Amino acid sequence: MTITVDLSIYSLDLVLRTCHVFTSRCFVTPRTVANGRIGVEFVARDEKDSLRDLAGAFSNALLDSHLRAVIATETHTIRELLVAQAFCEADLLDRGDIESDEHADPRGIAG
Amino acid sequence: MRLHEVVAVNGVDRQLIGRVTRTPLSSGRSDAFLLIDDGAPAADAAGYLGVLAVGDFSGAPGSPVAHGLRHLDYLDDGDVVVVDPTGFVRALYRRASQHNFILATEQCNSLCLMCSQPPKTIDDSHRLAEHLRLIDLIDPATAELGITGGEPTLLRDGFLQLIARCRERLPHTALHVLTNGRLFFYRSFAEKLGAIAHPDLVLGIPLYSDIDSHHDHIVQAPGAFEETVIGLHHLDRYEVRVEIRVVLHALSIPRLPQLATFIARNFPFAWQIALMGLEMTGLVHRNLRALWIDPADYQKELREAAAILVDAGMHVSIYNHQLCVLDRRLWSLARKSISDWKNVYLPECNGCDALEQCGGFFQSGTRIRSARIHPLSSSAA
Amino acid sequence: MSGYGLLPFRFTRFDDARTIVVNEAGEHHFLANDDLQRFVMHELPAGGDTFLDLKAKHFLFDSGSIAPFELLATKIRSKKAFLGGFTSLHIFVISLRCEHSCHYCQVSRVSADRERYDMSEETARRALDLAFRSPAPRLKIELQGGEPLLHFERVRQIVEEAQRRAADEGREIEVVVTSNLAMLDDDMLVFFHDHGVFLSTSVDGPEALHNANRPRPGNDSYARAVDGIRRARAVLGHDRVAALMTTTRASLQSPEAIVSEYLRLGFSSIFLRPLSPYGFALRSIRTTGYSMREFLDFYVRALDCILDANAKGRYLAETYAQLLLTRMLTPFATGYVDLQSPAGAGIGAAVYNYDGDVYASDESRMLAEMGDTRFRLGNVHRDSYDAIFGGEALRRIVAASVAESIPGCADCAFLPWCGSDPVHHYATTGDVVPHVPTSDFHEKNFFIFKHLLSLYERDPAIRRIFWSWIRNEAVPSQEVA
Repeated sequence: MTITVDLSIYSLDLVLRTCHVFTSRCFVTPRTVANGRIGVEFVARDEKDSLRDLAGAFSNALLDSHLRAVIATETHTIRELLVAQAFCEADLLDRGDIESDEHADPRGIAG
Repeated sequence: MRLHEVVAVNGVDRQLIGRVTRTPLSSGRSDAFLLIDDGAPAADAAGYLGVLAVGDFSGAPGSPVAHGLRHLDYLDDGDVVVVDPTGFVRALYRRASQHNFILATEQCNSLCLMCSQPPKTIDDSHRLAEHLRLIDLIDPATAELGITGGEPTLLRDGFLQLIARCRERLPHTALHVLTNGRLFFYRSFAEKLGAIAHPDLVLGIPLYSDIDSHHDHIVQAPGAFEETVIGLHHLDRYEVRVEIRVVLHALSIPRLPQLATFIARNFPFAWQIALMGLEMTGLVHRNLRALWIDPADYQKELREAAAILVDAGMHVSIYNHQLCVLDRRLWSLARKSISDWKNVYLPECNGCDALEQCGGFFQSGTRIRSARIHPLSSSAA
Repeated sequence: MSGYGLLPFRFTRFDDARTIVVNEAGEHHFLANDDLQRFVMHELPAGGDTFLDLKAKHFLFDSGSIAPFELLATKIRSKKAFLGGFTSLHIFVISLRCEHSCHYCQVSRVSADRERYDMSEETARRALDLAFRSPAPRLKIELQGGEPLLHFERVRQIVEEAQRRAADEGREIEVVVTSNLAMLDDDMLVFFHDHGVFLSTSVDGPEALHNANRPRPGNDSYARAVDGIRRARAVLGHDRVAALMTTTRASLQSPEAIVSEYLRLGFSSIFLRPLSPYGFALRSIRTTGYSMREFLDFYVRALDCILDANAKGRYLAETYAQLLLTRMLTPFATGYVDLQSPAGAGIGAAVYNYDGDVYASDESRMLAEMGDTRFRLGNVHRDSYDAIFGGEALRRIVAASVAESIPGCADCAFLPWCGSDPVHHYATTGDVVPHVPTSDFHEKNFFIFKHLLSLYERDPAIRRIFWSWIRNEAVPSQEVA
C-alpha cells in the first residue's frame, strides 16, 4: 500500500519522523512521486494488519506530528532557557526585580 | 479577659514596660512592677520600675504608680505589662497563656476579603522598641510565641531585628510568624532571615488558589500570588520553614483539590498545610455574600484536598471547624486551635459528646454559622 | 501573544477519548482528544476549567508573571537532582565463585579456584580508594558475587574499611550484601549486626519453582534461603532483609503463587524483574526465554494480586511500579540507575570486578565476561580515577543515553519519567541507541506507564495504595480518602 502526502501541507522532515513510528508495524519505504508530493509504501509485518486501519493511523499520526512541530516551534526557546536555568546557579531568566531588595522595593510590594 | 484599661497614674513620664510581681524581689526590681492587691499590707516599693495598685497607693514616694485598677487577679508573676503616661495599662504577655503574640504592626500591604484583623494606615513603626523590650522580658521557658499583624515584614529591618532578638533571648521558644510572604519575593530579604538561623521558626503564609488572579482577588493585591510563590521558594532556599495556610470560603473552595495538587508539586518542602474555617470577624461581614459557604456543603472538596496532601506525605491540619459538620474521616486532622479566651459553644451543643474534642466557635462567630450544627452522641463520636 | 502562550510539553494519545500531556517537569494532565488541538492552536477559552488546570500545572502562561518560569525551573532541577550525587552506588564483585548454578546467571563459576576468581585484598583497597573519591555525600556499597559469603574475609575487610573511612570523612554510608544466604553462619550474622549491614537475597517463588530456577548441590536452595531469611531477621531486624525475584519461563504461569510466597514470607516489597539479556542468559534466551509481551502479561497478573493484598490491608509494594510512580506523581528525583536520562551507568553507579576491572554497570561486567569489553572503564591497578571516570568509554555511554536526543523518545509524553540504558540496548541490538519502535525496553516501559496510569485513573482505592508505596509506608491514608 502506498500513501501519497502533499509536501505543501507536511514537511518532508515531518513525514519521515512519522514514518519512523510505523517501523514496528511495517516495512516503510518513502519514494518521490511528483513535484511537491511524496509516496510512502507500507508493507505490513503482520499480514493480518488491516490496510484501512494502517492508512487511518498514518494520517492521524501525521496530524500529531504537525501538532508536535507547532508546539516545538512555539516552546523551543523557553525549553532551552528553562533547562539551562535548572542546571545553572546563575540566573538566565530575566528575573525582573527579584535581585533588588526590600528597601528599594521597585515593585512597590510594601505599598 | 486581658488587662486593658485606663487608670490614674503618678510619676509616669514615659512608657514603662515591665514584668509584674507580687513576690517582693531582692534584685531585678528595675525591670518589675510590684502588684499591690486590694487590702494587701503595706510593702517596700522602693527601686521598682513602678507599682500597680488596686486601691490608692502612696507608699513609694517618687516611684511611678498606677492606681485605682479594678482588680489584678488575672495577672501573675512573670506577666509583662505596659503603662503609658496617659494611664493606659495593657498586658502584653501572660506567662500562663499558650497564645502569646506580638502585634508587630497594624499596617498591611494586602486587604484580604476575609481579614479578621483589618489593617490600619497609622504609622506604628515606633512600637518596634516596645516589641524588642517585651522580648527581653518574656520568660525564656515560654513554649511558643506568635508574631502577627498587619503584615510584620513591613517593618523590614525591624522584622529581622525581632527575629534576631527572639533567637538571642528566647532560643527555646517556638516562634510562629503570620505573614503574606510577599516581601520575600526579594531574594536577599529571605537570605537575611535565613542567616539569623532561628532554631525554631515557622512562617505561616497564606495561599488561596492555584490561579494567580483568583489569589490576587482574594487578597485584594495585584501581583501578590507571584510574590508569595516566589517568596516561598526563596524561604526554602534559605532553609526557613514555612506553613501554607488556606482559609476556606466560597472563593477558595471550588479549586481546593487543584490547589492541593499545586502545593504538593511546587511546595513539597512545606512543614505543614493548615486548612482553616472562616473566622466570622473583621472584614468578613462586609464581604459575606461573596465568601459564605456552609462548611457542611464543602466537605467533599475538603476531603479530596486533604487526601491529596496526606497521600503526598504532607502534614495537614484542619482548624476552626466544628466536628459535627466535619466529615468523620477528617477528624484525625482536626486541631483545636481557637485560643482559650475566644472559644464558646452554642445551645445546640448541649448534650454533645464530642464537646471535649471540638474547637467550638470564635466568640465573634456564633451568629453566622453552619445550619447543620448538632450535638453528637458518643456512638457517633 | 494570542491570549496565552505554550510552555514546553509532550503528548501521547492515551486511548480513544483521551490524550495525556506531560510537561518538562514531569507533571501530567489528561485532555479530551479534541481539546489538545484547541489548546495548541490557542483556542481554549480563558477561565474554563481546562484552561485553568493547564495553567496551574504549567502547560500555558497568560501574563508577564515570572512565577511559572521560576516554579518550572525549580521543578526541573529537583527532577534531575540525581546528577548532583555523582557515583553513589558502588558494587564490589567479591568473588566470581558460587555454589549455585542458576540457569539465568552462569556468569558465576562453581569452582574452588580462589586464586583465580576471588577479589584480592589489594584490589579491594584500591577499589575503595576510587569509591571514596566520589563526591557524593552518601555512598551505598553493595557486595555481591558470585556468592560473596564464599569469600567472607574480603567482605569483612571492605565493610570495616569503608565504615572507618566514612566515619573519618563524616559521610553517610550504607552497606548491602547480596547473597543467596545458603552459606550464612552465625558469626557472619553477628558481624552484619555489629556493622548495620542490609541483606538482599533471591526468592523466585514457591519451593519447586525456586529450586528449579536455582540449582545447587542437594537441591535445597529454597530451604536454605528461607532459613537464612528467618535467622537474619531474628538477628538484624525484620526490615534489614529484602528479596528480589527473577522471572523465568517457568515463572510466567505462576504470578499468584509467587506473590503469595512473598506475602507468606512477610516481605514488604517485591521486585518483578524480567530476565535480563546479559551474560550467558543472552545465549540461552532461545531456550529459556520469553517475549516482552509474555512478561508484561505476567506483570499485570502479578500486580493485580499485589494490589488485591494491599486492598485487604497487607502492605506489599512492587518495586518497579513504586519507582515509576514516584517519578510520575511527585516532584522528586529517584536514584534508580537503569532508567535515567542521562543513564545512571557511571554517573550513579560503578562496578568493581573481582579482578580489578571497573565497569559502569553490572550489565557491562556481564557483557565483558562474554568477551565484549567495550564498556570496561579501566582497572583499579592500572588506571587513575580521572582516566576511569572521565575517560572515553564512560563518555560514550552517557552521550548515547540522553533520551531527549533519541528518535522516538524525543516525542514521547513519558520521556520525563523514563530514561535509557545504552548497555541494555547494545546487548540486545548491537547498538547503544535503541530503535524505539521495536525496542523491548520501550515496549516494557511504555506499557507499564500506561498501565499504572489507567489503574490510577480508574480506582480511588488503587490511588491510595500507589501513594502508600510512594511514601514507602504501610500507614494507610484510607481514613481521609
